[in-house]
Amino acid sequence: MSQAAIVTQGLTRTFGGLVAVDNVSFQVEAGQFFGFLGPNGAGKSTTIRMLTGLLAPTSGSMQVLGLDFQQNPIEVKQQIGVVPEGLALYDRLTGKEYLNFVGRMYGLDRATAAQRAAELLDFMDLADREKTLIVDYSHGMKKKLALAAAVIHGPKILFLDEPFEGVDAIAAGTLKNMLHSMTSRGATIFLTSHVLEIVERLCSHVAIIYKGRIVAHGSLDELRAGVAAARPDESAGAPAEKLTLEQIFLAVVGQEGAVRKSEDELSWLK
Amino acid sequence: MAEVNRGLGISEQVRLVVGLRWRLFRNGLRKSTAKMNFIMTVITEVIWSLMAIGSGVGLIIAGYYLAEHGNTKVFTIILWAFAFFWQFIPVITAQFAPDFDISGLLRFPLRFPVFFALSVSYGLADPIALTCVFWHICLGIGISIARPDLALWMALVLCASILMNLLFNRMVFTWLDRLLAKRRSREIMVVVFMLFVIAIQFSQFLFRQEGSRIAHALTRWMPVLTMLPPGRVAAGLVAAFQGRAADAFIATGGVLLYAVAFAGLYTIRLKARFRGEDLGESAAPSTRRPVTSRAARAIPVVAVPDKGIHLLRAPVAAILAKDFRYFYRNTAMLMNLVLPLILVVLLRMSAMNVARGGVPHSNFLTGDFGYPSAMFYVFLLTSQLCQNSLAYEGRGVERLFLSPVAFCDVMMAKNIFQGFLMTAEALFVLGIVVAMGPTPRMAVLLATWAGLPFVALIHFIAGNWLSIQFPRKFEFGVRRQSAAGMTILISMGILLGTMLMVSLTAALTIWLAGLWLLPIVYLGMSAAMYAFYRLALGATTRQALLKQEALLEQLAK
Repeated sequence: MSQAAIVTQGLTRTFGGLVAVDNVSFQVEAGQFFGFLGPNGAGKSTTIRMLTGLLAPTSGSMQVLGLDFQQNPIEVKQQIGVVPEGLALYDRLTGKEYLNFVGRMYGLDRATAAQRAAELLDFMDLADREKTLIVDYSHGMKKKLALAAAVIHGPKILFLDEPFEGVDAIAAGTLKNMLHSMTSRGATIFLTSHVLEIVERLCSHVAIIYKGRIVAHGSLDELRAGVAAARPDESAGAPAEKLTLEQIFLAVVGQEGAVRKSEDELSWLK
Repeated sequence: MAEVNRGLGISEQVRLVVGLRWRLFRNGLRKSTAKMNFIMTVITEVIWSLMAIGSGVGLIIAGYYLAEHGNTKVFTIILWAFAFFWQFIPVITAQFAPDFDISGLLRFPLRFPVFFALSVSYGLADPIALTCVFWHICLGIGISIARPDLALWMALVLCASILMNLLFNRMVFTWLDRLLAKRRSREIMVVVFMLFVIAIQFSQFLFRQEGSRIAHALTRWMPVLTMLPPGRVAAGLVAAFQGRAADAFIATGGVLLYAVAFAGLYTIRLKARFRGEDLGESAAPSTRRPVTSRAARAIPVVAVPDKGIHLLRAPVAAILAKDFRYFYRNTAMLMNLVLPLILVVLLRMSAMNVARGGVPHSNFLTGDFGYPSAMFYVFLLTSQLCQNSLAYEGRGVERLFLSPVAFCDVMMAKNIFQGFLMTAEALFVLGIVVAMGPTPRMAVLLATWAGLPFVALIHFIAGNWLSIQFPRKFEFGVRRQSAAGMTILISMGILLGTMLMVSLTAALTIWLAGLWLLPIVYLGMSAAMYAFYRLALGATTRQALLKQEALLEQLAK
């Protein structure tokens, strides 16, 4: 039986009167490539910020690799890698200096940090810009560097907030290879993305959050079967195994949150 | 049929933008720290306004007196002073800080005249510009009371002066924006500017020795100076006084011609911005061929912890190394530490000059107290490093919270870095004092060095608390950015309190036992403060956790 990598129980976060994440409970098994989906403002970033220690939950608990996050923040952070929305880069360092810095922050010795930094820069195709300050990097280069920083200490769980946004197809291919390589060696990956095709291609398990609540959670096959069973009339034309993640997403989130009939509204648009 | 869009009138567009600015301001006050900072800004602005009103009253009296006595030559000096104040003080105070980016409005269907008008009007939304306009009005009122027959002429000439100064100011700043768009040119400019400030400091010695020759040279340049805009404004005033209507008209026309020329140069830049010119820095694409076929290499899943025995733990050493890199890449920070040393040299030179002149009490700065008082002055400037320690973290502050590091380690690394800089400054000051002589007595030196940790540790304790409680983001390479209002107020109180404590202790110890005991007393105080510092440092982890969201919001925005 595999150990759960992430377990949340009744996770809730409010901002004043707004409930951004409402009683969210889910579980991610070790070694899973987990996709966390939801429309804009659904609570994806708030959840991932709580799971990585950037935001304190209002109530509820989180366990990472069996450790309670709030009780053992240092031990948990030691085992996770994060690419946050803002990338958390130091603009006035070079890529090499930044990776060395992050490696040392995770307690690596000087030689190991330097060696891994060099390897990662080479792998991410950033080695020729090692003297360039990060402020002068393009957005895609920054993203690759942030991912390199997230894995330099060999985390057991990787949290990625929109990792492929602004990354070109070649770089995206390289990153996907690296992520697959990590999961095949036992790492767990928790990923949020707006691009459903990417999630469908990469992830084995998915959770869908809508208006702060988890509305679906399971493997892609389980979700397909669930949607097909719940709406036999609409999915009659498409066998359950053929349902795309987009169809599942729309079926779960529903017409309210997804697509409006444009001919009835905004009629002044030409 | 859909309603056809009609273009908004200029006044409607301006009203919309003013409304936007008001909402931005109002929404910015939602947080309590923003409200407190706003109160501090209001207090500062009230003080500034009182000073401006006081000087304005003075100008009314001066204008009246000068017009009454026909002493028109002084107008030239006053108008040059106005121009100097308007054009140079913003450069010194703003220090090339990023302004409100008006080009952000270009996404809306603004017409160029509106864009132009808004951009010019931003030039007036500045206390210095408003003060200068106010001074022009006061001068005009003073003159008009003395010579009511010239009131209309005064209004015309001074309005032309205001317009010319405003357009010149906008034109210069817009071209500076273009010039400073690149990081490297910005940093070069900061260094050039600092050299200019230092040159001004040294100029007093030049004037002392070569004053008459410089004055003579300047009088030879007077005809040229009168042809420049402030000179033309003064010429218009003088001609009006002397009843030479044609000359007054020509001089005022000259001022307006200058205004048109500045407007033209300004329009060139503004048109480029209006057409979508981007002054941002973007990276050149890599020339190296992309690696596409490389197989994904295995990333180690098990970390290798640092098991070596070192003076500092790996995260502390990492933050320290990062801060040193940020320091030597930040010309503004470097100059902030070099400048106090130059000023110490200048102060000491002045004190020695005065001492040679036999002025009593002048040995305060050159005698036994020379070194401690120089250190106090340097501390006054370097202690600012502690007040807002996280200012340059930017988005990197997220990394500090993501890493498995207690926040007290982050603050400890910051304090070690600050302590290193303070020690370096103290050594440099000692070098200056010894080189310029006379060397202070050993007991004074020992007492100063024994007291330094005490003062530094108090600043670390207060600075750590302030840095977490009232963080403010600083732009890289920009000088004279101020910390939050509360930070400035509290740090000033702490600095004065500390100095009072140190001075009273010194006075009491010398009176009771003699100077020899002072180093020992200070050493004891430093040791006690270190124990207190350890306690306070430990508390920063919890404090940072409580303020984490505010820190991320303030610094990573």
